[in-house]
Amino acid sequence: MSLSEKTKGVLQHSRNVDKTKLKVGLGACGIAAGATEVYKELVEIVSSEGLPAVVEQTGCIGMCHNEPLVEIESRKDGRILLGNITPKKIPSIIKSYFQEGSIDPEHIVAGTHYVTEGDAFFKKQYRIVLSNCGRINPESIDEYIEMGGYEGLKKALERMTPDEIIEEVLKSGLRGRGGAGFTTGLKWKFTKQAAGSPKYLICNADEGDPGAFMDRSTLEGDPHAIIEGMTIAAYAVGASLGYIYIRAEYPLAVKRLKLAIQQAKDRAFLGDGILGSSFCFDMKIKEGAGAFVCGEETALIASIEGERGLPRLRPPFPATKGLWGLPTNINNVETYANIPRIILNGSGWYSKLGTERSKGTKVFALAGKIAKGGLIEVPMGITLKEIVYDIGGGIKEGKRFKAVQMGGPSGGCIPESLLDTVIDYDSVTKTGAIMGSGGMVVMDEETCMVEVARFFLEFTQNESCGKCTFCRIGTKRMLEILERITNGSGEQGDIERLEYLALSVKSGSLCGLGQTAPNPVLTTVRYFRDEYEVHIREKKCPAKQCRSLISYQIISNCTGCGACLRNCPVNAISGKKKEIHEIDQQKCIKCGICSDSCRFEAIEVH
Amino acid sequence: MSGIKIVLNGRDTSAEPDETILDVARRNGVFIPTLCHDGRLDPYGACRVCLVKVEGARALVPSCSTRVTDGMKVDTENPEALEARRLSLSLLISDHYGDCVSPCSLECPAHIDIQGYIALVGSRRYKEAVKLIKEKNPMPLCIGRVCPHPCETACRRNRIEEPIAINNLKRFASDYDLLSGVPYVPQKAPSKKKSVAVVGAGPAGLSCAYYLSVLGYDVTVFEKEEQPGGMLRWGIPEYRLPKRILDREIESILYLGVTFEYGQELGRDFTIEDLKRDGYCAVFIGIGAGKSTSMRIAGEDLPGVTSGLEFLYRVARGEKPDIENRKVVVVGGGNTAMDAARTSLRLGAAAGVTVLYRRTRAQMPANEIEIEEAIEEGIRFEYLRAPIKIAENNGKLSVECICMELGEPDASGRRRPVPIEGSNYSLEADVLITAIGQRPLVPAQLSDLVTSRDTLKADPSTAVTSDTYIFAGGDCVTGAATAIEAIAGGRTAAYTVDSVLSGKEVQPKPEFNISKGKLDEIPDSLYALYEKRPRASMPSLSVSKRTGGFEEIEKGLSENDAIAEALRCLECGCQEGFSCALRDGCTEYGVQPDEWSGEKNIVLGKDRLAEFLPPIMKDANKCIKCGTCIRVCDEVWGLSIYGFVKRGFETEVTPYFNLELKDTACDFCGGCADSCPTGALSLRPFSTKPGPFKSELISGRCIGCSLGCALEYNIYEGMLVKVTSKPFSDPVSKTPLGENEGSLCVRGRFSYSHLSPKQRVFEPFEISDGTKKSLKETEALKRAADMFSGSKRVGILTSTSLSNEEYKKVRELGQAVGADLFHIPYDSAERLPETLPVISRSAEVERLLGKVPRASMEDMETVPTIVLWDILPGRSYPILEMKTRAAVQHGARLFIIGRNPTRLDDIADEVFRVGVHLYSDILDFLGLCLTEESTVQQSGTRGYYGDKRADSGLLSAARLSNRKIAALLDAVRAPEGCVWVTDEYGKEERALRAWLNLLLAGKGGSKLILMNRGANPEGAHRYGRQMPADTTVTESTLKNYETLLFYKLPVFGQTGDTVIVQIGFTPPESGEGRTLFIPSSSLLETGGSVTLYSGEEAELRPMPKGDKNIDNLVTLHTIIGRIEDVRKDDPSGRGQKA
Repeated sequence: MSLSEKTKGVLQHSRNVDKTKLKVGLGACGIAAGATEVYKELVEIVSSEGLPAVVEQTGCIGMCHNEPLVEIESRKDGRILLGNITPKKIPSIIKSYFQEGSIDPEHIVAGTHYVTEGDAFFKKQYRIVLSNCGRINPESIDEYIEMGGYEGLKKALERMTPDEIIEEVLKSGLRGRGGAGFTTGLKWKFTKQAAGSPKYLICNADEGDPGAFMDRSTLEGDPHAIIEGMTIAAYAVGASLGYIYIRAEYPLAVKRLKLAIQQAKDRAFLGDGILGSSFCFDMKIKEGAGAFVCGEETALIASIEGERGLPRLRPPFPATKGLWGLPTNINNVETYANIPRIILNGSGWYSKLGTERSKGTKVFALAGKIAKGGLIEVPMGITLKEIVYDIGGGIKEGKRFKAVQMGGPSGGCIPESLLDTVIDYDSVTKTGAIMGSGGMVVMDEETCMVEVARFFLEFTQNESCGKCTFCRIGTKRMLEILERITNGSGEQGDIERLEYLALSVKSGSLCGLGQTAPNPVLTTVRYFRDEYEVHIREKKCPAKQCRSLISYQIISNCTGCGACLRNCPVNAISGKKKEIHEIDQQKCIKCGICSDSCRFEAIEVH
Repeated sequence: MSGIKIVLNGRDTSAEPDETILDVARRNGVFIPTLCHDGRLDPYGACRVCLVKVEGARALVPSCSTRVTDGMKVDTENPEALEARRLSLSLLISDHYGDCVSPCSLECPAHIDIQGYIALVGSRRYKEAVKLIKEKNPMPLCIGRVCPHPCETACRRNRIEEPIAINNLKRFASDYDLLSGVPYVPQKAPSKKKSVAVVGAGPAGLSCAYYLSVLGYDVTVFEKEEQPGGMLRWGIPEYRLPKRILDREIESILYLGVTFEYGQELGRDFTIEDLKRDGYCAVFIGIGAGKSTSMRIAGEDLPGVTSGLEFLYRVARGEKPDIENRKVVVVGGGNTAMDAARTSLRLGAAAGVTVLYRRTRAQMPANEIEIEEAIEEGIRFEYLRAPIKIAENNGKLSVECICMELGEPDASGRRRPVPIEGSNYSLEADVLITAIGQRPLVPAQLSDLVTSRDTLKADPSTAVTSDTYIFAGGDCVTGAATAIEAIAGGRTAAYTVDSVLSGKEVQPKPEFNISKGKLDEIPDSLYALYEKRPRASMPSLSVSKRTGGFEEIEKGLSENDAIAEALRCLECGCQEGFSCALRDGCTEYGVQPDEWSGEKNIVLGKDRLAEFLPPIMKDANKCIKCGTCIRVCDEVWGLSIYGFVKRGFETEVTPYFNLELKDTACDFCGGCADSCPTGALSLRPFSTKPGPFKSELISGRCIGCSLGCALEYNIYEGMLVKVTSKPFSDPVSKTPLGENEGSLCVRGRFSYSHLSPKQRVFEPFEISDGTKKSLKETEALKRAADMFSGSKRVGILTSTSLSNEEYKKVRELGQAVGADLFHIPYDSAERLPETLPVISRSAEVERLLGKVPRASMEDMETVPTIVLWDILPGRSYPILEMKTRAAVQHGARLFIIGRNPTRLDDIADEVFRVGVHLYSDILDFLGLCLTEESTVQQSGTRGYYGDKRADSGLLSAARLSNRKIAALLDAVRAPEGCVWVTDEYGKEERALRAWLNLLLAGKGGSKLILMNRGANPEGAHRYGRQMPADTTVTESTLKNYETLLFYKLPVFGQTGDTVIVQIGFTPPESGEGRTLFIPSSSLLETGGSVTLYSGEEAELRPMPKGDKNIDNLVTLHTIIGRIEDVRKDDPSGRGQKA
């Protein structure tokens, strides 16, 4: 059977276009928000009412702040995205849509024929990696194929040599989306040129940054894109076996990946003799136990080998001496997901996007005190301000913007004054932050920057593998200084000691974890030094977050209603009814429950 | 070199492409510290202490792992790199919990290695203890009697019950040494031909003179009195320090050649200019603090008033102050006050002796024991009292006193006494002795150097004064202080003078020390494990005997008490204190212990110094997580016992599943402890009480088996402390220490306990009719000779622990007395089985052996195929196992033929599990297959044995498949050859023959490695006398002999009427008939040569303390008189007495 014959049926598969589609975003985030119940309710109502509609699942649509999301897609109305849907709301929505052809605008967050707040959310995005996410059913290879899936692989295998593929990836300017931004084509080239056989391919899906969910969403929403990207890469570098190293905490992604791998094998996109060619490539899933350092490529390799996830010295780099000592190409999820489109549309198409030295798009998980958080994909070259204010809709509850933390615990805090920073590798690095894998946490005026630094450093210190001195002990000593500052025992000279240690840990550590762990400290010291100084000199936390440095006090607004007194978990509040209450500062644990329970704004933080 | 060029610290340097920066640097003598690097292991890069700057590199790079590239510019001394290294060390120290040296030693003003000398006392090495003490204190006889021992206050044993009686142990050791008749005398350096003047023969001056003299200077001591000793003589009464003891101690200084000029006072009899004129290169001033402080009250100069110093001085000179039946009042609370009071009592001050002190007892500066004893002797103490006026009243003194109370603390931290107004009262006395303080009396000539406290201005850490010619120390610098402080001052001065006169840097880098903290800073749980053991009490004169005269009160500890006391020591100081790379690095980089202080990851209680097994000690709190133990165990031994657990700051290294080492598959090779850069893992020394001792490393060879692995004896004062084997210890040649590449097995490391004095018998003895009698050695040898001469049938049994020379001599002795000779393949310390095999080979085996080439361990590295036949390398020859494992890692094929599973089975290409009874047949068959090559070629591998029916039966009996046999034959037939390894011990002659024939049949050039049990079995083959092959010895065999000599072999069996002579280590406990035991030395002590597995002969380098095995044998020969003195033909001359 020729290649075209074998895939004929597949590629000509078409969908029932007459029926209205009701798509429910069933990424892990949607599920957590209750989308499964919404899905069940829709299935129930469609079948019981016999409506001319099909209910389908799809991956993450991106508007996390509006989960659960349901999309109505029909010829007539195009796409209408409904947000914050609960099972209770469904009967009335369905009734009005199918009977009256209308939908209460309060449910609509975006749509072909509507002007909504969602427009801004999507308008400045450009979706390559996420183009299928939230649109297709991730458990259906047919839907992937219908969207042009596996065409890139077909093109690569049928019309390109491995060298041509590498050349194409090189020309596209794609840089590794795992964080460091090494030129992908170059990595492939090194692996291809390295002596040793067999060669391996690894997909790093060990997404460890707190608050980051780009890879998970991509894997859940469009698993075939990664499989296709990896298969093309394998063909290019000459690898015969690929590993997807994924966190075991991502069960849905693992499930969908497994299904997708099986589907791909069934359709000859994977396995022996791919698409009728002589090229063979198989894929295994390795579930990681959740050590942050296993996102570091050499530690990840050690982990696959069954060793403790300890980083190894580089050089030699994995491209020459990787898994089991053999040449290994390792890229992250987003990098591989870009590949099919680059091959299909050509490097010229891709390299038009972005800036001089950073091409294409970047996926971010926008989180924190942002009004509209979610999964976004933006072209390189967009400014931070556009992301925060245009896409994200600014700060929640109208509070003041303070900083955005990019790159997770290894990243840095970018202050308001640098909001015009353009998103590309070099500009972000210049601020002291890093592009990272795409975590973007927005902070408002109520965030204490010293506490932020302490929080991230505590994370990296706990996750340090313990191998090298600077990371194991250096970050611990830094953490101790930060703890000292946040609990009010900071001393003159602490900032300088902190900076000295931070720079030394950065330059002296063995792997990326240690080399970047001081970034949050360095950037907060750089941009928010005054906050550190207030902590140390005045023993005060300007953001009123550091518990040791604040006190709750009841002011004259107090009506003596007793709400705070009843809610205080440590009985620190006393007072007669209708008289101003009082907080015993000795007993108070500064939990803030009193303040939350007060209806008269009578409790102040000092 | 054919390689590349790099620039190393600005100099063009050639290098090989596979070298690391560290390799190149070390080869060129550029020092870069490392803590996690081990030449045997893959670079690891954990410690970050070897960071260097490479031009163009983004960050600093670890030199241990960065390979050089052409044109690379490396700067190892770049400030940024030095700073990073220093910080790395400093951070490691911030999480390091331990004591580099013991707190007692840190507290001692002279920093004597207290833990060391206590360990030596505990090991009965008293002379060595004195030697160690005298490195820091030349007067242990005196100091051992008078020191207030601040060391004991710091002793951690205080937290359990009572401190170690450190000072009493010092006194014990030095008394013992003195009584030995040949007291220790230090080795003097060659004369420097420079003279130095010392002014004052007190402890400071004597100490300075001693060390200057040892350093090679000509020293003259100028003393104003007619006798030396200073305060030790004039200030300390006889009952505390007998003058004869002081004299003996000073004699030892005189013995060094120090000249004393008595009656010479600086400023009165000579000047500094005189000294310069007389050619002295420098002068040390140690004139003490001999001027009493005045009380500044009226009546102080009345006739009945005297100073304590004056009083004691007169008594010491032999005068008898008129004090009998008088009433004495002593003012002051220091030792001089006590001494004056107690001396008065002894001089018969029957009307009472009262001490007035202005504070309370708790603040009294005198030694506690002095106060206690004074009270016992009946001296009255009045606290919070001070005299304010003295008047004379009818020949009696009337002392007006005032009561005091304690006020606020003063500058010294003690509460200041404040007079209570109106509390005056009057006291009557005949004599008033003032002892409230002393000051130096500095000659006017030195007035430029004097401080407001009348002391000389000198830097206490160097003894340097503002005059480059003058150095000063002792009381005249510190003010009145202890003798040991003066001694330390004198010693410091001696070393400074030496540095100045030889143009060296005066103040060397202070040695880095970290401490667990003061006594009260240490958690209780640390001491919960120790049982309470009372402190040895000092035997003393009863009170009634004391006051009657001036006899020394303290009698000194008994030997047993001293040893028991020494064993109480907790060994706080780190076992690796002298060999800690971390400490060395911190010293080098001037790291301070608390630069980055913070939380420490401390394991308390059980894990602290938990001994996994006696040989390996662990202190998890000193682990720096360099992973070397993990990697050595994994990469070198393939055992993987250790691993990391936990993450971040809490990361730990433990054996797998957190088991104790003894419950793991550990081989106890000790490689982990040997390679540990700190004291986290250390080898337990062989001595009864581990030091640590500053050992000398002497390379030698292991005598555990015929591999003859290279090792390092750690020798301290002739005592084997432990065996180490640091690989690549010589950075320049990078030559490993031997074929074992720095690794040793459990035998190589630990099987020397028979050398421990604890387990050895050093005196010959004879047991006759159940009674044991000690003999002199010559007598014992004569007795032995008589026994042999008088016997018709003599049997001699030896072990494998003999040198080639010894085998020769034993053979000659056997010939001389017509004895049968049995060489037993067991080591001198092993347990013997019921039937003893005998080392023997048939002529045919010898002939065949001569034809097959022998392989070396080096061949193992390159040979493509290794076949192990019936050998358990892991159990019997671990180094061989290690080599095999490495060979397989480098691509060698491995075949194993044998009855028992081995640890290498997992990595073997094929394993042939064959019973012993089939060995010969299988080997014959394989040999046949190899010779009939034509058959093979015609019918392919299957045809090897297809037409041999009998062989098919054999193969099925041995359950061997065609495929396995074919694979083995193919490998063996390959032109690159192969190495066959077996163990000769217990092999049937027939099987050995079949094996050798098989080896000869292999066309590719098979080589063999033939292992054998024990140190020198090959020597027995070569130089002993051969018995017929397959001979065995049982109890009944031995009954045929009248006299049996067990030479370095335990006595075997019940031998009935036979007379037994044993020359060896472990004598029989008792004997029925006649038994004569003559102690022997070990091969390590004797030296000589051994024959290695390869047939090569190698010299053993003897430990510094030689012995006389050969001599004994020679004497035996000579006495027997039938042969000539064989020493003549001993080419090594080893038989000659030194």
